[in-house]
Amino acid sequence: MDFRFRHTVIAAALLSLPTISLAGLDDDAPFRGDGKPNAVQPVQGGRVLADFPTNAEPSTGLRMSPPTGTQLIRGQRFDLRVETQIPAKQAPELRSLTINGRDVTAAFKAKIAAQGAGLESGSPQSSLFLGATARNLSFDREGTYKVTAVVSVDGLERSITNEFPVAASPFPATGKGSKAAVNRVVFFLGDGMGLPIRTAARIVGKGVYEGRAQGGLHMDRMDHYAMVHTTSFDSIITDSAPGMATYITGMKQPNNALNVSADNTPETALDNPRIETLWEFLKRTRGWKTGVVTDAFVTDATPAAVAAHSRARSTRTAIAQQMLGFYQDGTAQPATGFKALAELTQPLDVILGAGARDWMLKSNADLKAFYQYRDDGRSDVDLFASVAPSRGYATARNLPELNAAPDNKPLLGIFSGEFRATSSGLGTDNIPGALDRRVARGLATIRGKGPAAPEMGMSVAPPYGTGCGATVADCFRAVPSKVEMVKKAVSVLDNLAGKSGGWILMVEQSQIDKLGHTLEYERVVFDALELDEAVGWVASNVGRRVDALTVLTADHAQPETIIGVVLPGAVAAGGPTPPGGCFTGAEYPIMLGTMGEVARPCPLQDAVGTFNDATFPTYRSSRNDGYPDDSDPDVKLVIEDGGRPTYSTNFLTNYQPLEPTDGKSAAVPNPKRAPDGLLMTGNMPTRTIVGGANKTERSVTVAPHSGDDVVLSASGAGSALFAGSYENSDVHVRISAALAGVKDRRALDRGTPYANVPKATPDGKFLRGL
Amino acid sequence: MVLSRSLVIGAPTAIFRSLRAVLLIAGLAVLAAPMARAADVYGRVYDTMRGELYPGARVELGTRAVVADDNAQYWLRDVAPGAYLIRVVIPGRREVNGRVLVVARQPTNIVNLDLGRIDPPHDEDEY
Repeated sequence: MDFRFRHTVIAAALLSLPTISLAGLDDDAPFRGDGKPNAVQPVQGGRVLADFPTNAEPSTGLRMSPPTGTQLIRGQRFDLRVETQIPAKQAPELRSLTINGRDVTAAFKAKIAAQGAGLESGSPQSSLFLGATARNLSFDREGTYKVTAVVSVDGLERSITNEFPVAASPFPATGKGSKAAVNRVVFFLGDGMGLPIRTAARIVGKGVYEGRAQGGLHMDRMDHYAMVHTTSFDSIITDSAPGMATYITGMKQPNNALNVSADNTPETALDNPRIETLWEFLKRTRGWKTGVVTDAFVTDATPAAVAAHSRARSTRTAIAQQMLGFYQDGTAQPATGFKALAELTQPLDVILGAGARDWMLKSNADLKAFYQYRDDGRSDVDLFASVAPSRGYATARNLPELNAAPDNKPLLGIFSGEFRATSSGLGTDNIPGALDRRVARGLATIRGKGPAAPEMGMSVAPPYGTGCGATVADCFRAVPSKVEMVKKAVSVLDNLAGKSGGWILMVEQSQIDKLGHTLEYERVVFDALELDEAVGWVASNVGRRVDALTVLTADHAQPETIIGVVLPGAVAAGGPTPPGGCFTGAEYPIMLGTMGEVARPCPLQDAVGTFNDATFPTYRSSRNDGYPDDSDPDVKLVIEDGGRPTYSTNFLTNYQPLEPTDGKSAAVPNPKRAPDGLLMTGNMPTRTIVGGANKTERSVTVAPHSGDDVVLSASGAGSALFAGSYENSDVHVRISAALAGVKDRRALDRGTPYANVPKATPDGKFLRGL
Repeated sequence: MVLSRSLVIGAPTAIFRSLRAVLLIAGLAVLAAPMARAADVYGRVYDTMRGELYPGARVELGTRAVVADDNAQYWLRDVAPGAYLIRVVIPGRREVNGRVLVVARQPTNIVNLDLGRIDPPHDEDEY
């Protein structure tokens, strides 16, 4: 170089840098990272730290489903969709679709034509959008596939590329005689069970003496541990739908979605591009038996995640039908337009939980007299009384019927919910919390009070009939506990699968989450202990088999944490410390206290022993069954929330679960809940309260989820594969590897960034189903 | 300014000075252009949890407001890049606040306003 010009050249180079960076040296690096200039800039991607980076072409919103990076396993079904998101001036047209360089455009178009337009192919209503979904495809060889679509939009060609790592199958390539290394899988899901709740359950259930826990939980004794990232496709804080669905599909999904991706037909929740769950895959390919056990309504997001496909978890009546594989026009889940969905879903063999209104006709007398719904139910078909029995299911409504159900038939059990008219904290759709059921059975008390105490609301008749029992307590006693449900589920699955067959069961402890939302911390811990009891039973029974794998985790955490201890005797009404007095009552706004004052401004705040002064709680378990006798011992654990609506607390267990707020606003505490308690100011969004009551609809009246990683524990065959720190989408691949007999988690590193994916780019001909 | 000093050092002739000046101005223009460039915002107003589109919804961004068309689509043209609160007012229903980051380097920012996402769940059973 002529040095006379060197500075000019350097200056020119420096000045050109911004231009280069704007064009994007590799501004799709988060998605492809190929180091090449990018012809397809992802929307809000590249160097921009955007709030929602997504792999889409920026001028048209051209995108592909499944999302790039979806972790498939060989043979797993998925829908391939290409769509635009911004309306063109003329109808866009798919020019080409290639898979690892092989052109499959004609086959894709032929598949769409064969499926037909409309719901079957997810066609948009407007021709100015492209939207086409080829259903039920799969990759038949391990490796990485790059799928590129080129679409002509108003005379310009736009393109998008997604990458799909395909991991090994759980089974050998050939069919007959091939057997998995694992034939029993129990997946425990403590909904919302963050690490603090596991810790709290240990402290409450086992106690602490001179700094040492006086025993471990069953979940503490599991073989291997991991930290799992729970972020969903579109939020750092997932809801329970993608939280569970991602674990068993490998696909990151938007909040509220069950085993589908987002699409450009938001008016239709049931036509979105789908992905096969592990439950469906194992039943379809190997005839495994499948089940789900929950204490939520059965169609709730977590239990639905094993079997349902919908963009909206709220489509409960359709989800119930999908769980049975029942498609019929004129019902919530029609047959017309859903042929591919009917081919994808697999009926569950065991379904146990609550939420009778999704399963019974409104005219079914049981809905009111037994389940205590005031005025609810289906308007199309009775799944419980008609469809399920006609398809061979035994049915059960309570513990005696559950125990009497045969083991040689599929089983649908729908149990009673928390229907006390005086309780607002859980609702008729959900099985009462473990504490309340134990009180009903005489196994626990709340500050010494049992089921006969008027405060409990259990000694009265149920509100709408005595079908489930003469009193509320009778009805609650007849609701099976989690371990009672799990025992029956395992018995049925064992029997249906036979010695040579396999089964997979998901067990959810829903109320850890639901009662956490309403800040019923004592009940949350009792539910965690109930989950632990079920984990222990499985470890002692199913877990003894050499081909059994148990996984325990949470779909997400809540912002709960342990802050110290309190002495209920000191804060109960009439105790030595005057109640409340801080921010509530006539003293508001408060004045700072002085040494001369007899009554301190916030006596309840002073009642908490924290940090150095957080001594050990004194829970007792006279039955030595892992549960405390009473939720308010002399010294009790205090849990608080980092995210919460405004509410009032006196640190005592509510006799019945109650909403923390007035149910309308995050800013107004429930006047029926600890009205003389300490006011905990909220930090959740409130709605504008201008122009009428409707403006306050859907305020955040409960505590939210959090974005923390969660702990995953695993025991049994292949459990070593689960140690580490990884995405929730990785769990699917790890279960599959365990089934395939992989023992060493380092064997999952096969030269690619994805677990159990070899460094290979198979021919596009290995895409099946077109 | 370090960059300017480096440009001056070793500049031997008036021609090169002029060339550097042109390059400097051009470079600064390239730097400044994308920051000042406005972008379009396009989206639809709907609720995936209810399967509803909201034609006629009023969408407010700063001092600007538009009404969604019959297909529940709205456009906001020439929006300065930056972070905004966006407000949706659906006739006869509630108001919803969302958050939008408008990025200049996108020709069109897709901002679908899914009430199923930006509005709190209907009740605690939808968490």
